[in-house]
Amino acid sequence: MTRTAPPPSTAPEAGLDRLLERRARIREGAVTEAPARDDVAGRLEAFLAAHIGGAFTLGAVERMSGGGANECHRFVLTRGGTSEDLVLRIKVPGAICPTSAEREFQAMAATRDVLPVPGVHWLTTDPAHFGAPALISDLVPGVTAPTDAVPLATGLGTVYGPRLRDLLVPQFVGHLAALHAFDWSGADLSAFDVPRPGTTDAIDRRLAFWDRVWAEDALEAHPTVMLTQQWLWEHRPVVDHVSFLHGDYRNGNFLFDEDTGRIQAVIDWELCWLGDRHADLAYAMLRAWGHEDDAGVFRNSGLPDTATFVAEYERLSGLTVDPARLEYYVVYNLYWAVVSLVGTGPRNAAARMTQLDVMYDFISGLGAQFLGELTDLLAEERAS
Amino acid sequence: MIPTVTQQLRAMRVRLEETVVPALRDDAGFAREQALLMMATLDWLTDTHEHEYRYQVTENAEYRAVVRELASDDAEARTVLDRPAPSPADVAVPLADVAEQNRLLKDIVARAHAAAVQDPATRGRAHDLVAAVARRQRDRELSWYRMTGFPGARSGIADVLGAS
Repeated sequence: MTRTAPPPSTAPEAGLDRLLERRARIREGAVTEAPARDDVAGRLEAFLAAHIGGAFTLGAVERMSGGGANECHRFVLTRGGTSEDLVLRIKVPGAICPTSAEREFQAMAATRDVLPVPGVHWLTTDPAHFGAPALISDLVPGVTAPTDAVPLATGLGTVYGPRLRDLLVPQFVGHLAALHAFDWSGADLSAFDVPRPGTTDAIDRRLAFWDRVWAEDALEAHPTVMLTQQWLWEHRPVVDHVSFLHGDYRNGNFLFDEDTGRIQAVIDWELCWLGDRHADLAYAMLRAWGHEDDAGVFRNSGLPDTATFVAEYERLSGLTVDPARLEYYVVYNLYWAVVSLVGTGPRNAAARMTQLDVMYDFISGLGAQFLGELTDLLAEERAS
Repeated sequence: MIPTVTQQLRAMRVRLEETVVPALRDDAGFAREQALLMMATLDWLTDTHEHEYRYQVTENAEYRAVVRELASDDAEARTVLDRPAPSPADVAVPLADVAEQNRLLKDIVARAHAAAVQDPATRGRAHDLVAAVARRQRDRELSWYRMTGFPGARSGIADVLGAS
Protein backbone atom coordinates (compact mmCIF):
# COMPACT_ATOMS: atom_id res chain seq x y z
CA MET A 1 0.00 0.00 0.00
CA THR A 2 1.13 3.53 -0.61
CA ARG A 3 2.02 5.77 2.28
CA THR A 4 0.21 9.07 2.24
CA ALA A 5 0.51 11.86 4.74
CA PRO A 6 -2.65 12.58 6.70
CA PRO A 7 -4.45 15.66 5.48
CA PRO A 8 -3.97 18.61 7.83
CA SER A 9 -7.60 19.02 8.84
CA THR A 10 -10.06 16.39 7.77
CA ALA A 11 -13.50 16.63 9.34
CA PRO A 12 -16.10 13.90 9.76
CA GLU A 13 -19.14 13.96 7.49
CA ALA A 14 -21.21 17.07 8.21
CA GLY A 15 -24.19 15.11 9.58
CA LEU A 16 -22.00 13.08 11.93
CA ASP A 17 -20.17 16.21 13.00
CA ARG A 18 -23.51 17.72 14.05
CA LEU A 19 -24.36 14.47 15.83
CA LEU A 20 -21.19 14.71 17.93
CA GLU A 21 -21.83 18.39 18.66
CA ARG A 22 -25.29 17.53 19.95
CA ARG A 23 -23.95 14.62 22.01
CA ALA A 24 -21.45 16.96 23.63
CA ARG A 25 -24.27 19.32 24.59
CA ILE A 26 -26.26 16.43 26.06
CA ARG A 27 -23.26 15.39 28.16
CA GLU A 28 -22.79 18.95 29.36
CA GLY A 29 -26.44 19.03 30.37
CA ALA A 30 -27.09 21.93 28.01
CA VAL A 31 -29.87 19.95 26.31
CA THR A 32 -31.85 16.98 27.54
CA GLU A 33 -32.36 14.02 25.27
CA ALA A 34 -33.39 10.54 26.36
CA PRO A 35 -35.86 8.00 25.00
CA ALA A 36 -39.32 8.59 26.44
CA ARG A 37 -40.46 5.73 28.66
CA ASP A 38 -43.66 7.26 29.97
CA ASP A 39 -46.87 7.08 27.96
CA VAL A 40 -45.22 5.82 24.78
CA ALA A 41 -48.66 4.76 23.50
CA GLY A 42 -50.00 8.30 23.94
CA ARG A 43 -46.97 9.80 22.23
CA LEU A 44 -47.36 7.39 19.34
CA GLU A 45 -51.05 8.21 19.06
CA ALA A 46 -50.30 11.94 18.83
CA PHE A 47 -47.43 11.46 16.37
CA LEU A 48 -49.43 9.21 14.06
CA ALA A 49 -52.48 11.47 14.21
CA ALA A 50 -50.31 14.27 12.87
CA HIS A 51 -48.90 12.11 10.09
CA ILE A 52 -51.79 9.89 8.99
CA GLY A 53 -54.70 11.30 7.10
CA GLY A 54 -57.75 9.40 8.28
CA ALA A 55 -58.81 7.16 11.10
CA PHE A 56 -56.55 4.61 12.73
CA THR A 57 -56.28 2.57 15.89
CA LEU A 58 -53.22 1.67 17.85
CA GLY A 59 -52.87 -1.62 19.68
CA ALA A 60 -50.50 -3.65 21.84
CA VAL A 61 -47.68 -1.13 22.41
CA GLU A 62 -44.95 -3.14 24.09
CA ARG A 63 -41.31 -2.38 24.96
CA MET A 64 -38.94 -4.83 23.27
CA SER A 65 -35.95 -6.34 25.03
CA GLY A 66 -32.37 -5.40 24.25
CA GLY A 67 -31.74 -2.09 22.54
CA GLY A 68 -28.21 -0.73 22.28
CA ALA A 69 -28.42 2.10 19.74
CA ASN A 70 -32.24 2.29 19.93
CA GLU A 71 -34.94 1.61 22.49
CA CYS A 72 -37.70 -0.20 20.64
CA HIS A 73 -41.45 -0.53 21.13
CA ARG A 74 -43.56 -2.83 18.98
CA PHE A 75 -47.16 -1.98 18.19
CA VAL A 76 -50.01 -2.76 15.82
CA LEU A 77 -51.39 -0.02 13.58
CA THR A 78 -54.82 -0.62 12.06
CA ARG A 79 -56.13 1.65 9.33
CA GLY A 80 -58.30 1.18 6.28
CA GLY A 81 -59.24 -2.30 7.37
CA THR A 82 -55.67 -3.63 7.51
CA SER A 83 -53.27 -4.11 10.41
CA GLU A 84 -49.50 -3.67 10.35
CA ASP A 85 -46.93 -4.84 12.90
CA LEU A 86 -44.57 -1.90 13.36
CA VAL A 87 -41.70 -0.90 15.60
CA LEU A 88 -40.82 2.50 17.02
CA ARG A 89 -37.04 2.87 17.29
CA ILE A 90 -35.92 5.75 19.56
CA LYS A 91 -32.25 6.75 19.52
CA VAL A 92 -30.32 6.30 22.77
CA PRO A 93 -27.83 9.15 23.31
CA GLY A 94 -25.77 6.90 25.60
CA ALA A 95 -25.36 4.14 23.01
CA ILE A 96 -22.03 2.42 22.46
CA CYS A 97 -21.74 4.15 19.05
CA PRO A 98 -23.06 7.61 18.18
CA THR A 99 -25.48 7.04 15.28
CA SER A 100 -28.04 9.02 13.31
CA ALA A 101 -31.71 8.11 12.88
CA GLU A 102 -31.82 10.08 9.64
CA ARG A 103 -28.98 8.07 8.07
CA GLU A 104 -30.53 4.83 9.25
CA PHE A 105 -33.91 5.80 7.77
CA GLN A 106 -32.42 6.84 4.44
CA ALA A 107 -30.30 3.68 4.26
CA MET A 108 -33.26 1.37 4.73
CA ALA A 109 -35.39 3.36 2.27
CA ALA A 110 -32.63 3.39 -0.35
CA THR A 111 -31.83 -0.33 -0.20
CA ARG A 112 -35.39 -1.63 0.09
CA ASP A 113 -35.40 -3.05 -3.46
CA VAL A 114 -31.83 -4.33 -3.30
CA LEU A 115 -31.98 -6.76 -0.39
CA PRO A 116 -34.50 -7.66 2.31
CA VAL A 117 -34.76 -4.68 4.65
CA PRO A 118 -37.53 -3.63 7.05
CA GLY A 119 -39.78 -1.07 5.38
CA VAL A 120 -39.55 2.41 6.90
CA HIS A 121 -42.54 4.70 7.31
CA TRP A 122 -41.82 7.80 9.42
CA LEU A 123 -38.81 9.65 10.76
CA THR A 124 -38.62 12.41 13.34
CA THR A 125 -35.45 14.21 14.36
CA ASP A 126 -37.43 16.36 16.79
CA PRO A 127 -36.98 14.98 20.33
CA ALA A 128 -40.28 16.57 21.34
CA HIS A 129 -42.13 13.51 20.04
CA PHE A 130 -40.31 10.60 21.68
CA GLY A 131 -37.58 12.23 23.75
CA ALA A 132 -34.95 11.65 21.06
CA PRO A 133 -34.84 11.21 17.26
CA ALA A 134 -36.87 8.17 16.21
CA LEU A 135 -38.14 6.23 13.25
CA ILE A 136 -40.97 3.79 12.65
CA SER A 137 -40.37 0.69 10.56
CA ASP A 138 -41.94 -2.66 9.83
CA LEU A 139 -41.59 -5.32 12.49
CA VAL A 140 -40.10 -8.27 10.61
CA PRO A 141 -40.58 -11.76 12.04
CA GLY A 142 -37.58 -14.01 12.47
CA VAL A 143 -34.66 -14.81 14.76
CA THR A 144 -31.07 -13.60 14.84
CA ALA A 145 -29.74 -16.93 16.10
CA PRO A 146 -31.03 -20.50 16.34
CA THR A 147 -33.37 -20.70 19.29
CA ASP A 148 -31.41 -23.61 20.76
CA ALA A 149 -28.15 -21.65 20.65
CA VAL A 150 -26.57 -20.21 23.78
CA PRO A 151 -27.61 -16.51 23.90
CA LEU A 152 -24.69 -14.25 23.09
CA ALA A 153 -24.34 -10.48 23.42
CA THR A 154 -25.79 -8.97 20.20
CA GLY A 155 -25.37 -12.29 18.37
CA LEU A 156 -21.57 -12.21 18.53
CA GLY A 157 -20.12 -15.50 17.31
CA THR A 158 -23.45 -17.14 16.51
CA VAL A 159 -23.10 -20.79 15.42
CA TYR A 160 -25.81 -21.90 12.97
CA GLY A 161 -25.11 -25.60 12.47
CA PRO A 162 -24.70 -27.33 9.08
CA ARG A 163 -28.35 -27.27 7.89
CA LEU A 164 -28.97 -23.58 8.47
CA ARG A 165 -25.45 -22.68 7.39
CA ASP A 166 -25.92 -24.24 3.95
CA LEU A 167 -29.18 -22.34 3.54
CA LEU A 168 -27.88 -19.01 4.82
CA VAL A 169 -24.45 -18.80 3.15
CA PRO A 170 -25.65 -18.00 -0.42
CA GLN A 171 -28.02 -15.34 0.90
CA PHE A 172 -25.46 -13.82 3.29
CA VAL A 173 -22.92 -13.44 0.48
CA GLY A 174 -25.49 -12.56 -2.17
CA HIS A 175 -27.09 -9.75 -0.21
CA LEU A 176 -23.73 -8.15 0.53
CA ALA A 177 -22.72 -8.45 -3.13
CA ALA A 178 -26.00 -6.87 -4.23
CA LEU A 179 -25.63 -4.03 -1.73
CA HIS A 180 -22.11 -3.18 -2.89
CA ALA A 181 -22.99 -3.35 -6.60
CA PHE A 182 -26.11 -1.22 -6.07
CA ASP A 183 -26.14 2.11 -7.91
CA TRP A 184 -27.14 4.45 -5.10
CA SER A 185 -26.69 7.64 -7.12
CA GLY A 186 -30.43 8.18 -7.53
CA ALA A 187 -31.34 7.55 -3.90
CA ASP A 188 -32.12 10.20 -1.29
CA LEU A 189 -28.94 10.14 0.76
CA SER A 190 -28.99 13.76 1.82
CA ALA A 191 -27.74 12.86 5.31
CA PHE A 192 -24.49 11.54 3.79
CA ASP A 193 -21.47 13.31 2.32
CA VAL A 194 -20.75 11.73 -1.05
CA PRO A 195 -17.08 10.78 -1.50
CA ARG A 196 -15.31 10.92 -4.83
CA PRO A 197 -14.12 7.66 -6.38
CA GLY A 198 -10.38 7.56 -6.99
CA THR A 199 -9.72 9.46 -3.73
CA THR A 200 -9.42 8.81 0.01
CA ASP A 201 -12.40 11.09 0.82
CA ALA A 202 -14.49 8.33 2.34
CA ILE A 203 -11.90 6.84 4.67
CA ASP A 204 -10.55 10.32 5.56
CA ARG A 205 -13.93 11.35 6.91
CA ARG A 206 -14.45 8.03 8.63
CA LEU A 207 -11.09 8.14 10.39
CA ALA A 208 -11.73 11.77 11.37
CA PHE A 209 -15.02 10.66 12.91
CA TRP A 210 -13.64 7.75 14.93
CA ASP A 211 -10.54 9.71 15.99
CA ARG A 212 -12.81 12.42 17.35
CA VAL A 213 -15.01 9.89 19.16
CA TRP A 214 -11.92 8.35 20.75
CA ALA A 215 -10.59 11.77 21.75
CA GLU A 216 -13.90 12.67 23.38
CA ASP A 217 -14.72 9.31 24.96
CA ALA A 218 -11.60 7.41 26.00
CA LEU A 219 -11.20 7.39 29.76
CA GLU A 220 -7.47 7.13 29.21
CA ALA A 221 -4.98 7.00 26.34
CA HIS A 222 -3.81 3.66 24.98
CA PRO A 223 -0.49 2.91 23.25
CA THR A 224 -2.04 0.51 20.73
CA VAL A 225 -4.57 3.15 19.69
CA MET A 226 -1.68 5.57 19.14
CA LEU A 227 0.02 3.08 16.81
CA THR A 228 -3.26 2.23 15.07
CA GLN A 229 -4.29 5.81 14.35
CA GLN A 230 -0.88 6.55 12.89
CA TRP A 231 -0.89 3.40 10.73
CA LEU A 232 -4.41 3.94 9.42
CA TRP A 233 -3.74 7.51 8.32
CA GLU A 234 -0.44 6.59 6.69
CA HIS A 235 -1.80 3.63 4.71
CA ARG A 236 -5.15 4.94 3.45
CA PRO A 237 -6.08 3.21 0.19
CA VAL A 238 -7.87 4.97 -2.63
CA VAL A 239 -11.41 3.71 -3.26
CA ASP A 240 -12.03 2.53 -6.83
CA HIS A 241 -15.81 2.11 -6.61
CA VAL A 242 -17.87 3.85 -3.94
CA SER A 243 -20.37 1.38 -2.50
CA PHE A 244 -23.19 1.78 -0.05
CA LEU A 245 -21.93 -0.01 3.08
CA HIS A 246 -23.95 -1.55 5.86
CA GLY A 247 -21.17 -0.95 8.38
CA ASP A 248 -22.08 -3.79 10.77
CA TYR A 249 -22.65 -6.74 8.42
CA ARG A 250 -22.18 -9.98 10.36
CA ASN A 251 -24.01 -12.79 12.11
CA GLY A 252 -26.55 -11.44 14.58
CA ASN A 253 -27.51 -8.55 12.32
CA PHE A 254 -30.04 -10.31 10.10
CA LEU A 255 -33.35 -11.97 10.86
CA PHE A 256 -34.11 -15.38 9.38
CA ASP A 257 -36.89 -17.95 9.39
CA GLU A 258 -35.61 -20.91 11.35
CA ASP A 259 -37.65 -23.47 9.37
CA THR A 260 -36.92 -22.33 5.84
CA GLY A 261 -33.55 -20.68 6.47
CA ARG A 262 -34.68 -17.63 4.50
CA ILE A 263 -33.16 -14.29 5.48
CA GLN A 264 -36.16 -12.07 6.20
CA ALA A 265 -34.33 -8.79 6.74
CA VAL A 266 -30.88 -7.33 7.19
CA ILE A 267 -31.12 -5.09 10.24
CA ASP A 268 -29.09 -2.63 12.32
CA TRP A 269 -28.19 -0.10 9.62
CA GLU A 270 -27.04 2.57 12.07
CA LEU A 271 -23.39 2.42 11.01
CA CYS A 272 -23.94 2.64 7.24
CA TRP A 273 -21.70 4.84 5.10
CA LEU A 274 -20.52 5.39 1.54
CA GLY A 275 -17.07 3.94 1.00
CA ASP A 276 -14.87 0.99 0.12
CA ARG A 277 -16.60 -2.42 -0.05
CA HIS A 278 -13.55 -3.98 1.63
CA ALA A 279 -14.66 -2.36 4.87
CA ASP A 280 -17.81 -4.52 5.01
CA LEU A 281 -15.99 -7.61 3.74
CA ALA A 282 -13.18 -7.33 6.28
CA TYR A 283 -15.70 -6.72 9.05
CA ALA A 284 -17.69 -9.85 8.23
CA MET A 285 -14.37 -11.72 8.29
CA LEU A 286 -13.23 -10.58 11.77
CA ARG A 287 -12.07 -13.58 13.76
CA ALA A 288 -14.34 -12.69 16.67
CA TRP A 289 -17.55 -13.31 14.70
CA GLY A 290 -16.50 -16.68 13.27
CA HIS A 291 -15.44 -20.13 14.35
CA GLU A 292 -13.87 -23.29 12.98
CA ASP A 293 -16.33 -25.97 11.87
CA ASP A 294 -15.96 -29.67 12.60
CA ALA A 295 -13.53 -30.01 9.69
CA GLY A 296 -11.34 -27.21 11.06
CA VAL A 297 -12.42 -24.73 8.34
CA PHE A 298 -12.87 -21.15 9.53
CA ARG A 299 -16.42 -19.92 8.99
CA ASN A 300 -16.61 -16.14 8.56
CA SER A 301 -19.48 -14.78 10.67
CA GLY A 302 -20.29 -18.44 11.31
CA LEU A 303 -21.19 -18.89 7.62
CA PRO A 304 -18.96 -19.01 4.48
CA ASP A 305 -15.36 -20.20 4.42
CA THR A 306 -13.03 -17.47 3.12
CA ALA A 307 -12.44 -18.91 -0.37
CA THR A 308 -16.16 -19.35 -1.02
CA PHE A 309 -16.92 -15.93 0.43
CA VAL A 310 -14.46 -14.13 -1.87
CA ALA A 311 -15.19 -16.16 -5.02
CA GLU A 312 -18.96 -15.94 -4.75
CA TYR A 313 -18.87 -12.28 -3.78
CA GLU A 314 -16.75 -11.44 -6.84
CA ARG A 315 -18.98 -13.50 -9.12
CA LEU A 316 -22.23 -12.02 -7.85
CA SER A 317 -21.16 -8.40 -7.49
CA GLY A 318 -18.83 -8.12 -10.48
CA LEU A 319 -16.43 -6.36 -8.10
CA THR A 320 -12.93 -7.56 -7.27
CA VAL A 321 -11.52 -8.29 -3.82
CA ASP A 322 -8.08 -6.80 -3.16
CA PRO A 323 -6.19 -8.62 -0.36
CA ALA A 324 -4.18 -5.52 0.53
CA ARG A 325 -7.30 -3.42 1.03
CA LEU A 326 -8.89 -6.27 2.94
CA GLU A 327 -5.92 -6.18 5.32
CA TYR A 328 -6.23 -2.41 5.72
CA TYR A 329 -9.90 -2.64 6.57
CA VAL A 330 -9.33 -5.40 9.12
CA VAL A 331 -7.24 -2.86 11.03
CA TYR A 332 -9.85 -0.16 10.44
CA ASN A 333 -12.67 -2.34 11.77
CA LEU A 334 -10.71 -3.45 14.82
CA TYR A 335 -9.98 0.23 15.45
CA TRP A 336 -13.53 1.54 15.37
CA ALA A 337 -14.67 -1.46 17.43
CA VAL A 338 -12.06 -0.55 20.05
CA VAL A 339 -13.21 3.07 20.01
CA SER A 340 -16.73 1.87 20.80
CA LEU A 341 -15.95 -0.98 23.22
CA VAL A 342 -13.11 0.63 25.18
CA GLY A 343 -13.94 4.31 24.63
CA THR A 344 -17.63 5.10 24.26
CA GLY A 345 -19.19 2.18 26.15
CA PRO A 346 -17.29 2.62 29.42
CA ARG A 347 -17.51 6.43 29.13
CA ASN A 348 -21.30 6.35 28.83
CA ALA A 349 -21.54 3.73 31.58
CA ALA A 350 -19.50 5.94 33.91
CA ALA A 351 -21.61 8.96 32.97
CA ARG A 352 -24.82 6.99 33.69
CA MET A 353 -26.11 7.69 30.17
CA THR A 354 -27.31 4.13 29.55
CA GLN A 355 -29.22 1.30 31.15
CA LEU A 356 -26.72 -1.08 29.55
CA ASP A 357 -23.92 0.10 31.83
CA VAL A 358 -23.09 -3.35 33.25
CA MET A 359 -23.01 -4.85 29.75
CA TYR A 360 -20.88 -2.03 28.35
CA ASP A 361 -18.37 -2.48 31.16
CA PHE A 362 -18.34 -6.24 30.60
CA ILE A 363 -17.89 -6.26 26.83
CA SER A 364 -14.87 -4.02 27.11
CA GLY A 365 -13.26 -7.47 27.37
CA LEU A 366 -13.94 -7.84 23.65
CA GLY A 367 -12.22 -4.50 23.19
CA ALA A 368 -9.18 -5.90 25.01
CA GLN A 369 -9.19 -8.86 22.64
CA PHE A 370 -9.31 -6.51 19.61
CA LEU A 371 -6.54 -4.36 21.11
CA GLY A 372 -4.48 -7.54 21.46
CA GLU A 373 -5.04 -8.34 17.78
CA LEU A 374 -4.08 -4.80 16.78
CA THR A 375 -0.94 -4.99 18.91
CA ASP A 376 0.00 -8.26 17.22
CA LEU A 377 -0.50 -6.66 13.79
CA LEU A 378 1.10 -3.28 14.36
CA ALA A 379 3.56 -3.34 17.24
CA GLU A 380 5.90 -5.61 15.28
CA GLU A 381 5.93 -3.31 12.24
CA ARG A 382 8.99 -1.09 12.37
CA ALA A 383 8.16 2.52 11.67
CA SER A 384 10.19 3.88 8.76
CA MET B 1 -7.33 0.02 32.98
CA ILE B 2 -10.83 0.45 31.54
CA PRO B 3 -13.29 0.11 33.16
CA THR B 4 -12.00 0.15 36.71
CA VAL B 5 -13.37 -2.32 39.25
CA THR B 6 -15.02 0.60 41.01
CA GLN B 7 -16.91 1.60 37.85
CA GLN B 8 -18.20 -1.96 37.46
CA LEU B 9 -19.33 -2.21 41.08
CA ARG B 10 -21.21 1.07 40.77
CA ALA B 11 -22.89 0.00 37.52
CA MET B 12 -24.06 -3.29 39.07
CA ARG B 13 -25.41 -1.40 42.09
CA VAL B 14 -27.40 0.99 39.89
CA ARG B 15 -28.74 -1.82 37.68
CA LEU B 16 -29.97 -3.70 40.74
CA GLU B 17 -31.67 -0.60 42.09
CA GLU B 18 -33.19 0.72 38.85
CA THR B 19 -33.89 -2.47 36.90
CA VAL B 20 -33.88 -5.66 38.97
CA VAL B 21 -35.56 -4.66 42.24
CA PRO B 22 -38.52 -2.83 40.63
CA ALA B 23 -39.13 -5.89 38.43
CA LEU B 24 -39.50 -8.25 41.39
CA ARG B 25 -43.01 -9.45 42.19
CA ASP B 26 -44.68 -7.93 45.23
CA ASP B 27 -44.79 -11.36 46.89
CA ALA B 28 -41.07 -12.04 46.26
CA GLY B 29 -40.09 -10.78 49.70
CA PHE B 30 -37.10 -13.03 50.17
CA ALA B 31 -35.67 -12.24 46.73
CA ARG B 32 -36.14 -8.49 47.40
CA GLU B 33 -34.35 -8.79 50.73
CA GLN B 34 -31.42 -10.60 49.08
CA ALA B 35 -31.23 -8.01 46.29
CA LEU B 36 -31.13 -5.17 48.83
CA LEU B 37 -28.38 -6.97 50.74
CA MET B 38 -26.44 -7.32 47.49
CA MET B 39 -26.83 -3.57 46.89
CA ALA B 40 -25.56 -2.84 50.39
CA THR B 41 -22.63 -5.20 49.85
CA LEU B 42 -21.75 -3.49 46.57
CA ASP B 43 -21.74 -0.15 48.41
CA TRP B 44 -19.42 -1.66 50.97
CA LEU B 45 -17.06 -3.08 48.34
CA THR B 46 -17.01 0.21 46.43
CA ASP B 47 -16.00 1.95 49.62
CA THR B 48 -13.23 -0.46 50.56
CA HIS B 49 -11.86 -2.59 47.74
CA GLU B 50 -9.33 -0.02 46.50
CA HIS B 51 -7.72 -0.10 49.92
CA GLU B 52 -7.51 -3.83 50.57
CA TYR B 53 -3.85 -4.05 49.56
CA ARG B 54 -2.93 -1.00 51.64
CA TYR B 55 -4.86 -2.43 54.60
CA GLN B 56 -2.97 -5.72 54.43
CA VAL B 57 0.40 -4.00 54.00
CA THR B 58 -0.28 -1.81 57.02
CA GLU B 59 -1.16 -4.84 59.13
CA ASN B 60 1.85 -6.73 57.83
CA ALA B 61 4.22 -3.98 58.95
CA GLU B 62 2.57 -3.64 62.36
CA TYR B 63 2.54 -7.36 63.11
CA ARG B 64 6.09 -7.87 61.89
CA ALA B 65 7.18 -5.22 64.37
CA VAL B 66 5.28 -6.89 67.21
CA VAL B 67 6.57 -10.36 66.33
CA ARG B 68 10.16 -9.06 66.25
CA GLU B 69 9.65 -7.72 69.79
CA LEU B 70 7.71 -10.61 71.23
CA ALA B 71 8.82 -13.76 69.46
CA SER B 72 12.16 -13.23 67.82
CA ASP B 73 13.44 -16.56 69.19
CA ASP B 74 10.52 -18.48 67.78
CA ALA B 75 11.52 -20.67 64.81
CA GLU B 76 8.25 -20.19 62.98
CA ALA B 77 8.46 -16.44 63.56
CA ARG B 78 11.91 -16.32 61.98
CA THR B 79 10.62 -18.25 58.97
CA VAL B 80 7.73 -15.88 58.45
CA LEU B 81 9.86 -12.78 59.00
CA ASP B 82 12.33 -14.05 56.38
CA ARG B 83 9.63 -14.15 53.69
CA PRO B 84 9.53 -11.22 51.24
CA ALA B 85 7.41 -8.40 52.61
CA PRO B 86 5.81 -5.40 50.93
CA SER B 87 7.32 -2.05 51.61
CA PRO B 88 5.33 0.04 54.08
CA ALA B 89 5.84 2.84 51.56
CA ASP B 90 3.31 1.01 49.32
CA VAL B 91 0.51 2.42 51.43
CA ALA B 92 1.57 6.01 50.89
CA VAL B 93 -0.26 6.52 47.60
CA PRO B 94 -3.94 5.50 47.32
CA LEU B 95 -4.94 3.41 44.33
CA ALA B 96 -7.12 6.15 42.88
CA ASP B 97 -4.12 8.49 42.88
CA VAL B 98 -1.96 5.90 41.14
CA ALA B 99 -4.68 5.40 38.52
CA GLU B 100 -4.97 9.15 38.00
CA GLN B 101 -1.20 9.44 37.58
CA ASN B 102 -1.26 6.62 35.04
CA ARG B 103 -3.94 8.36 32.99
CA LEU B 104 -1.93 11.57 32.95
CA LEU B 105 1.22 9.68 31.95
CA LYS B 106 -0.64 7.97 29.10
CA ASP B 107 -1.95 11.32 27.85
CA ILE B 108 1.60 12.69 27.86
CA VAL B 109 2.84 9.64 25.93
CA ALA B 110 0.04 10.09 23.36
CA ARG B 111 0.98 13.73 22.78
CA ALA B 112 4.71 13.01 22.66
CA HIS B 113 4.21 10.08 20.27
CA ALA B 114 2.01 12.13 17.93
CA ALA B 115 4.72 14.80 17.79
CA ALA B 116 7.65 12.40 17.47
CA VAL B 117 6.25 10.46 14.51
CA GLN B 118 6.14 13.68 12.45
CA ASP B 119 9.94 13.84 12.54
CA PRO B 120 11.89 11.15 10.62
CA ALA B 121 14.69 11.48 13.17
CA THR B 122 12.49 10.46 16.09
CA ARG B 123 9.64 8.38 14.63
CA GLY B 124 11.49 5.05 14.79
CA ARG B 125 12.45 5.41 18.44
CA ALA B 126 8.94 6.65 19.32
CA HIS B 127 7.39 3.67 17.59
CA ASP B 128 9.69 1.22 19.36
CA LEU B 129 8.96 2.66 22.79
CA VAL B 130 5.20 2.76 22.31
CA ALA B 131 5.13 -0.68 20.67
CA ALA B 132 7.05 -2.16 23.60
CA VAL B 133 4.68 -0.72 26.18
CA ALA B 134 1.71 -1.75 23.99
CA ARG B 135 2.90 -5.38 24.01
CA ARG B 136 3.26 -5.43 27.79
CA GLN B 137 -0.12 -3.75 28.21
CA ARG B 138 -1.66 -6.28 25.79
CA ASP B 139 -0.43 -9.14 27.97
CA ARG B 140 -1.86 -7.54 31.10
CA GLU B 141 -5.19 -6.71 29.46
CA LEU B 142 -5.76 -10.12 27.90
CA SER B 143 -5.17 -11.67 31.29
CA TRP B 144 -7.23 -9.09 33.19
CA TYR B 145 -10.26 -9.60 30.94
CA ARG B 146 -9.98 -13.38 30.63
CA MET B 147 -13.08 -14.06 32.75
CA THR B 148 -15.26 -12.10 30.31
CA GLY B 149 -14.62 -14.98 27.90
CA PHE B 150 -13.57 -12.76 25.00
CA PRO B 151 -9.78 -13.23 25.11
CA GLY B 152 -9.95 -17.02 25.53
CA ALA B 153 -7.68 -19.05 27.82
CA ARG B 154 -5.00 -16.87 29.38
CA SER B 155 -2.72 -16.88 32.38
CA GLY B 156 -4.17 -15.35 35.52
CA ILE B 157 -3.43 -11.72 36.21
CA ALA B 158 -1.48 -12.72 39.33
CA ASP B 159 0.98 -14.66 37.17
CA VAL B 160 1.30 -11.92 34.56
CA LEU B 161 1.93 -9.21 37.14
CA GLY B 162 4.28 -11.48 39.04
CA ALA B 163 6.34 -12.08 35.91
CA SER B 164 6.61 -8.41 34.98
